[in-house]
Amino acid sequence: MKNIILTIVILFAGISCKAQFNYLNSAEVFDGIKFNNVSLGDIMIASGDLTKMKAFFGNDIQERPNNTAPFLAKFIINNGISFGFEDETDSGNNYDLTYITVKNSSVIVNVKGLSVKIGDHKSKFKGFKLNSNNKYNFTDKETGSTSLFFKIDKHDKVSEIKYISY
Amino acid sequence: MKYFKNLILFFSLLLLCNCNFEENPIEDKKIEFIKNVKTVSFQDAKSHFDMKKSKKQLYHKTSKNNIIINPDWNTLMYNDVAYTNAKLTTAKTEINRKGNYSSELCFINVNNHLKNVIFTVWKDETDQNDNLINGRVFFNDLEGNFIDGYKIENGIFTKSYVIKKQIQKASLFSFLFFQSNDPEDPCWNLDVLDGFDGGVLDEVIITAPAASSGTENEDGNGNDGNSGGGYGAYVNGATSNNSMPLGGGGSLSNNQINSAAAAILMASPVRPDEDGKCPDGYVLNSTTNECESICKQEGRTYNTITEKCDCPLGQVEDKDGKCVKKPCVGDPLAIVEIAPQLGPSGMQGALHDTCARYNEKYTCKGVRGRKKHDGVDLKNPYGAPIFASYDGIAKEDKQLNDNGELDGAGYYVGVTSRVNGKKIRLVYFHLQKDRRTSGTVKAGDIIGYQGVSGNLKSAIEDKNTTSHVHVKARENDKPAEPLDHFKTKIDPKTGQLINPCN
Repeated sequence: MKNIILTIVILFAGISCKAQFNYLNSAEVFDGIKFNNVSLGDIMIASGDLTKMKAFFGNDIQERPNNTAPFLAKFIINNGISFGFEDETDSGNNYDLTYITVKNSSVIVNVKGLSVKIGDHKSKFKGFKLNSNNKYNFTDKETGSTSLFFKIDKHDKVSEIKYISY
Repeated sequence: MKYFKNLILFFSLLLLCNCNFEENPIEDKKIEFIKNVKTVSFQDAKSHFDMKKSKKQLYHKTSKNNIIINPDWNTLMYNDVAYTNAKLTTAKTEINRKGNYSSELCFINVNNHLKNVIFTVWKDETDQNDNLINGRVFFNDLEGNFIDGYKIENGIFTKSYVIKKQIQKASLFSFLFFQSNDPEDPCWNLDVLDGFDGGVLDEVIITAPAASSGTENEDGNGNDGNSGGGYGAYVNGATSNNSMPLGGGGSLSNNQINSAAAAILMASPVRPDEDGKCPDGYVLNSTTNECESICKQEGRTYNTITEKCDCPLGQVEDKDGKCVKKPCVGDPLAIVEIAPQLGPSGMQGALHDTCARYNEKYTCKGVRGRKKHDGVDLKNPYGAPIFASYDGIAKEDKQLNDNGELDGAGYYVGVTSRVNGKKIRLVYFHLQKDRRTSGTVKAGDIIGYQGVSGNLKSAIEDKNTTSHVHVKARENDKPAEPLDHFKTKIDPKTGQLINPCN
């Protein structure tokens, strides 16, 4: 009897844990996640190069150094979206994407066939799991090191969209 | 009937007069590492003794029952002591006792205060190497006050001698209590010395009161000197230290006995000097006439330079004023352990140089779209301290996003050190804002406290991971394996502990 209860508890815990995420395969991460129709993979490969980023997001996008990070880092930003890049080699030649923050409804984000912008109703996520922090969190199923989340506010609307590379 | 009553009274008094063994066996606890212990030089030992000798008036309390100490300064030597690098300075001495005993004057400096004791061993049974199998040891101060005494059976301190309270109080009946002239009387009270006619009398003559002040306490359990009930807990710990040469099966070597003597000496009460003054770091308790440490918290010792109470050796004070264990030099935490990711990458996701991160521009060890993870995640509960692994220069900072909000590493501290000729920079992520350190640090200094700053908060909220400090390493400015720079050895491929630091 004890073993049965234990098994149920473990299973429940496992299910609860898994229920935090909506898992993605690598193609769904690199090709399926898009910001204004630019794939996450392309943004990663751009490696913080301003020229490429302008080509993706328009000439108004600007580069700013980030002097607060432990290693060489910079921002690439415009009014609607911001990108964080860090160069852990401190060489200036090897910037990696660390985060993307969507600032307003001008940016449309795609994932798993969804097309979402800030202010959208959560009903768009029908069939996906909302976690305990009121986020629709999409992560890769192989490493769990990527997180694209859509925060839902008290009006059941998307209030925050962020991609984090842990 | 009257005869019967007197008989009862007589036997009752006899019961009061004997020194007894405590029946509770001595716990085999290890003594704590005692800080601020220094070796007393031969010259200082002799000077200290001569100084005592010159203050004869203090010790000549009566014309009889003197303890006569006649040290042989040619026998001065330094002895190893468990738990400290300081040495116990000893000189053999004659005292006016009879029997198969040997006595030494022992000296050691604790908290810049020179402490000394007369240490006497009765060897009832020894092995072929003169290691002590069965016997008794006694500790008296230079005034003759009984400090402590132990019975040794089969090389173990088994019982402590206690003097009953009544002995001290009922001086009226002292003729009954101390009439024994047996030199092996375990209750070494100086009254028993009356009958001793030997010894050289031209040395310091120290008179002890019939009942020493240090032998009273309220529960009648005899000499105490500290609230723990004697020093029995220390002695077996001192003799069982692996660093001391063992006396062999069931016996104690001279080194072990000396180590026990040092433990007693270090823990024995401090008395005021001839002017009634206590050493630095102590205040006089007028009731007990003993000097009590200013540092009331257990294990702390007074630092005469900073005039503060330091934590015991190997510990450091945290933000709450508690002494916490310092990690080994080379470790940033008291316990170094990997904090596996809760997600699919598990242990690999927490290790350095694993292909545990997604990035389209990389191919990591043949896997497209994978990036190496830079750094390791070490388990550390919220609020727990993080220590400098090495001496170095610390710099605190915070990582902000483009909107000025805390992000990424959050509040962090980087420490740059020179280790084996290499420039090593270790950066600790996700700390609390307050009490981070900048500037020169020593290994073991607290450089910050575990927080959830930066992207750790959301990672924990989303159940990606548990509380941890993320550590990145740079060796000569190039990314490096942090685990290579820790004293605790962890397999960088599996995250399993190979060798703890101590």
